[in-house]
Amino acid sequence: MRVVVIGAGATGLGVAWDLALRGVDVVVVEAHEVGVGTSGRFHGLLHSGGRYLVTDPNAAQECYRENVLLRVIAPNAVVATGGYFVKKYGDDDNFERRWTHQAEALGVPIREVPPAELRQALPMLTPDIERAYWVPDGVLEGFRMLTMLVAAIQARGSRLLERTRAVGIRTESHRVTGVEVEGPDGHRTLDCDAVVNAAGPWAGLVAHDWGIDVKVQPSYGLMLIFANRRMDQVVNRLKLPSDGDIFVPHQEVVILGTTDVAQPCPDAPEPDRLEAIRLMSLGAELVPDLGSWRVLRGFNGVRPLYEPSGLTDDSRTVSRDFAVLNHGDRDGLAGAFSVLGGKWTTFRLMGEVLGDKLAESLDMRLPSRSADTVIEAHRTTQATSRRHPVDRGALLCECEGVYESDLDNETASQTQMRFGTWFSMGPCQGTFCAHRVLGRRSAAQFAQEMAWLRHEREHGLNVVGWGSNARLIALEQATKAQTLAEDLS
Amino acid sequence: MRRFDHEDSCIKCSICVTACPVYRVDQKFPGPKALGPDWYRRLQAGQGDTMEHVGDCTFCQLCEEACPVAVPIAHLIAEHKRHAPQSPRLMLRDYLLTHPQWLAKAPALVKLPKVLGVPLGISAKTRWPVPSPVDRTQRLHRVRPVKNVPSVGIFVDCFTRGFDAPTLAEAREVLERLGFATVPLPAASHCCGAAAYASGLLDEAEHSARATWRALGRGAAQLEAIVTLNATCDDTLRSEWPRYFGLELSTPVFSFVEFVLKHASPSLFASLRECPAGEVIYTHATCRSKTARGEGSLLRLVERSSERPPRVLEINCCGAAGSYAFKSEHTGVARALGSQANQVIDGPGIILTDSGTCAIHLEELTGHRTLHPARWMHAQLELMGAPQ
Amino acid sequence: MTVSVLVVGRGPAGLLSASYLRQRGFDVTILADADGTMSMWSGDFGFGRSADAFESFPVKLSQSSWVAAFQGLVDIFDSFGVPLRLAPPGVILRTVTATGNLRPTFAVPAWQYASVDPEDLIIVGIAGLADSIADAQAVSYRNHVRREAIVVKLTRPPGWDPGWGAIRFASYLDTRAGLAWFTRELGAQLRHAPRGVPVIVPQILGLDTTVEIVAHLAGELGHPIAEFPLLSPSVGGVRIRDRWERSLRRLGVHFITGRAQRVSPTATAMTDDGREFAADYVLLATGGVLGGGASVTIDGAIIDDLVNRELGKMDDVQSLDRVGHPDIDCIGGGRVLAVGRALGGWNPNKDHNGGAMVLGSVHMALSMISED
Ligand SMILES: Cc1cc2nc3c(=O)[nH]c(=O)nc-3n(C[C@H](O)[C@H](O)[C@H](O)COP(=O)(O)OP(=O)(O)OC[C@H]3O[C@@H](n4cnc5c(N)ncnc54)[C@H](O)[C@@H]3O)c2cc1C
Ligand code: SF4
Ligand code: SF4
Repeated sequence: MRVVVIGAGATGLGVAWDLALRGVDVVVVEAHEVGVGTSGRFHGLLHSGGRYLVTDPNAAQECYRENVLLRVIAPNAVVATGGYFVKKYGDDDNFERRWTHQAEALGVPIREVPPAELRQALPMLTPDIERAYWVPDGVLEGFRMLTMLVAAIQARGSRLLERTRAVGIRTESHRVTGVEVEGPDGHRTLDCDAVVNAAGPWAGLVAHDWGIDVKVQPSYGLMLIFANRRMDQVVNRLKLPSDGDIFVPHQEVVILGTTDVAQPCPDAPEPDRLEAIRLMSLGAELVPDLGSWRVLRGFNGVRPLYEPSGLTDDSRTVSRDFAVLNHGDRDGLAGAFSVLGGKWTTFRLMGEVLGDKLAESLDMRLPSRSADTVIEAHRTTQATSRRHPVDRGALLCECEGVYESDLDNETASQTQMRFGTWFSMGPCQGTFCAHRVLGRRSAAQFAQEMAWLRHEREHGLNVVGWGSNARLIALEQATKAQTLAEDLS
Repeated sequence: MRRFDHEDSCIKCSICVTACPVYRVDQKFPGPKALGPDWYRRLQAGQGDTMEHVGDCTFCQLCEEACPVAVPIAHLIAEHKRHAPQSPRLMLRDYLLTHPQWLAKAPALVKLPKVLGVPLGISAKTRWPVPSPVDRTQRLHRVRPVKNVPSVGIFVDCFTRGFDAPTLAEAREVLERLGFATVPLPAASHCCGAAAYASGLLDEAEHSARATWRALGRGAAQLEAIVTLNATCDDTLRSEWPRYFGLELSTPVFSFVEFVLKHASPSLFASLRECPAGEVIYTHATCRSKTARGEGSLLRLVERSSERPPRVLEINCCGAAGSYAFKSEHTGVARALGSQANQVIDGPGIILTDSGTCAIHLEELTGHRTLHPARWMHAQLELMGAPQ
Repeated sequence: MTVSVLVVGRGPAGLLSASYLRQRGFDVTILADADGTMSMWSGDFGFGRSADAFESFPVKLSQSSWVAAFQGLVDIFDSFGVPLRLAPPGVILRTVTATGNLRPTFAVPAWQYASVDPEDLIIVGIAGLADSIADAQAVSYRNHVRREAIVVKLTRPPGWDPGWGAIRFASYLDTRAGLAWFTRELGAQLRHAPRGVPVIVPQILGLDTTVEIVAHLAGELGHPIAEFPLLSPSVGGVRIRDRWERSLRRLGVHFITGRAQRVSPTATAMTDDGREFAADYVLLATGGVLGGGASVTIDGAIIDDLVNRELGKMDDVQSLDRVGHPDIDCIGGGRVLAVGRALGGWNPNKDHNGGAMVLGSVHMALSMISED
């Protein structure tokens, strides 16, 4: 049996992984490259559920369950940092009461932390904190998880087709028999028994191509990346979920998020400087000295919220829960499914639920195995660290420690390579390493890939061009325009 | 993990690497960027495996001076050194070398290396200082501020106290000639903490600094200024104390050279210039003098005081670097750095430098007499005769 | 009385001002809080299209002054051992970048490759050197100029480790063993290459002995040989900076370390640690945003804190390359003059900054000081 999954974000790959484990032959088609949508532009929080205890109990419970599970099945891509919910003086007492009550009711473990303990763990936080609770928040290494998932599904014989856009479906008597795609090899049809729309914010458009109406509410959020990992645990503000109230330490950086702005289209908008300034001042409510932290870049991610009742202006009220639609039952198109909404944290669960529905509708008895199958660590990262230093070749990206030998996966796309190695994501933002890495990847594609990467990096730098980061931008511009004369060609 | 201002500002320009004297002479040295900001960022992310050769940094701070975004590179490297494993033997040595105030109390202890040197990892090659006669150093400390005459404190660093009494005495005479009463500070032997900081013993450094700051205490507050004789101590008191230990001095700190430039009258300089020109003067502002104030002041002092134009010794760091050259694993680098002076020196003359340890090192490697500028000024003034 | 000039900044504009002023007998002090951008670029003075460039330049110098300025530059570089090659009037030289693009220039150190007309080249790739991407470079070069680019590759030198950057390679080539290795390896690779075709090498041909290395290689290999510049830390820039600063010390320029906080119209500078420097003139060679002459606030204002003036707004990443003081006499009164990048961007290629701005503005400032 063959299933085509549309979208190589966390959800699509989660679905592909679950199906591949059931022995299904999966082809994932991705219009751009792995993770360029929301999955590569997220906060990195492995939710404990704490954030949704009051507003979205269902999502909270699912998050907690998956949080516990992912630590076991993907230990290489999650870090159990722990996190805190902190309540400042003046924050709503009533919310706190409901929150602790819900934690107990839903079985999400929390523990009140004495102020001294909090100060010791996170001395940069405001002294204005009345109470704090520890929660099992963690960090989800999204880039690594995506890389691992791609390798894992490929190892089971399934395929990933990047730069391949699904443009329509072929049906026979109201049943899907193929997916039409446009890719490097032109237009063709992939035969299949079922198709899964896992196109995240674009899912509404994909469904529309099938003549089906699905209400996806795109909502973007701005996040700011600080250059260094100045805190080791997640910090949430204990109040009604709002803007700029979460800090997540992620590898060598810290990410502050986020905003929540409903928008009509699925593409991430240009980040905006005024919003960045606003986020900085919101963040300073928790970290008073935030102004002295170097911000490396700002980026927008678009949440694919599912809104069964139609579009809304206030996207914070839309459930973070996910939905699986069987378009056979719902719209009379057998073999077509959509998986909508949800969180990175619940990507596996979404795959499982979808897999169950799909198996059931095709009348197959194929149980999900994703809850008890370990997703292996990425091959090259392990191989590299075991190599003798000299065999690693030249050091290409000094910020993130990427060597020539880390580029040995020739089939990977640029994005996969960046997710796998983190090159160009450190404090120089690719100023010094872009040509080194891309020049070694492909001489023929070099100029094009450089232009793309520079553009993408500058996009995120522009909104946070102040302090020493402004000087980095000036250096990046001079290097690009003068030393390398890239824009003269 | 300690926190530093601008710890995350690095824009990866690598200018620091081009400014580092050790990087140029030691092929194995990873350089300031890799050892400082790059390492510190990994440390913050919990991957702070220390790197080999971190101990080979002299803590000259030339990297920091060059950095466009004020990353405290050398201080991040000191933090790196603190995390690096060290054998108990070398730890003992470092501990001893970072307490020069003990040596200053009993300078005769320098004879020790001859016995203990090799097993402790103390360089057999680097020349050791000769202790000053004890009575002279002691006597100087009984002076108190004089009424109706502006008084300045003169910071007696541990090296000067133990090994360079003539510089102290002559510096005081020069200042008195300018119309200041001088008060040697602090009364008992102390170290500003620079030596310990350079070796990565940050807690020791803070401890020493605090003790010295307390010892300077109230006395210092009544003085017009504190004049330093050693560029490293100068920078330590003036900028590291407040920045890294929160220790503020209410009295402004000046280097001897800057103080003289500021307070000597034009007529005094004019008379000095009328004296017959002596030997060729090579000026070497030490690395820390360069990073804190710049070498231009020493050059200007000599220009103002002598008809014969001075020559600048165009080396960045001579390699002595406090206790650096005394460690056997650094002998090679220290000598390579200091020997570069010989490419500039093309005839007889004397070298002026504002640090006692650098003076010994340069004198050994160049064969040229090397003095503190205070002693040269003193000699010039003697040549000139008594004031009219 | 000798006229005293305080130059704030140690980048190319500061160093060039100091050289000229010393030549003319002024008393010169350089006050800087950090190294300038000299070591970030290879030291070739970019200068876009020849003819109309003179008109669009914000510093109005006559054509003959430009010729004199360039000749003065050649003389100064020559005095500290950096031979410069100058484009003949009306002609533009083009240098090749590490990514195989062409960049216009007017004055290049003789060790750097530049030519008037595009020509066939042999590009040397060096294993173990991160910036060496000869294959991609050759493809770009071929695409741009439709000339041949042959790639030859050298293996890693003995003793290499992954931390070796261009400076390490250059120090190695300064040694006898290093030069022997390079000559031998390159010779072997060029054995089958068409004779006489120019060979371009990443910028690693020594720090101290470059002139000799280039001459030696050309003699041994029978090809003209020159370098193409790499990124910061640019070995080419470091060579120039080191030689230049050394010569200024020898000439008696006073180097002072410190950050100027305020400069008054009466030519007095105050440092952030309370030192005061008075002079007859102050030259602000403080650079742009990169050099530290201007800073960007969180709401995007670009400000020169020294004279407390807003220079512009940051609208996009390119704004940073454009802003600067609109006038050399930047605060009026004629005693505080802005030179170099501080004066506003002017890119040889586009409207960014460039070496020509350094040269032109320093000349202008010099004539203003000399006239008084
Ligand atoms: C990567 C790169 C490549 C380039 N390539 C080329 C090229 O190929 N061709 C070309 O023509 N041009 C090139 N340029 C442009 C050229 O380098 C600049 O135009 C030039 O460097 C500007 O020099 P400057 O002396 O005006 O400023 P800077 O070099 O920026 O110097 C500023 C100095 O001022 C000091 N300073 C600033 N504020 C203060 C203060 N308050 N107190 C004390 N000191 C202060 C700084 O510490 C520094 O020493 C390049 C630039 C870069 C960055
Ligand atoms: S520490 Fe400073 S000088 Fe060194 S690379 Fe970073 S920004 Fe440049
Ligand atoms: S302190 Fe001196 S020796 Fe140490 S890294 Fe910096 S420049 Fe090099």
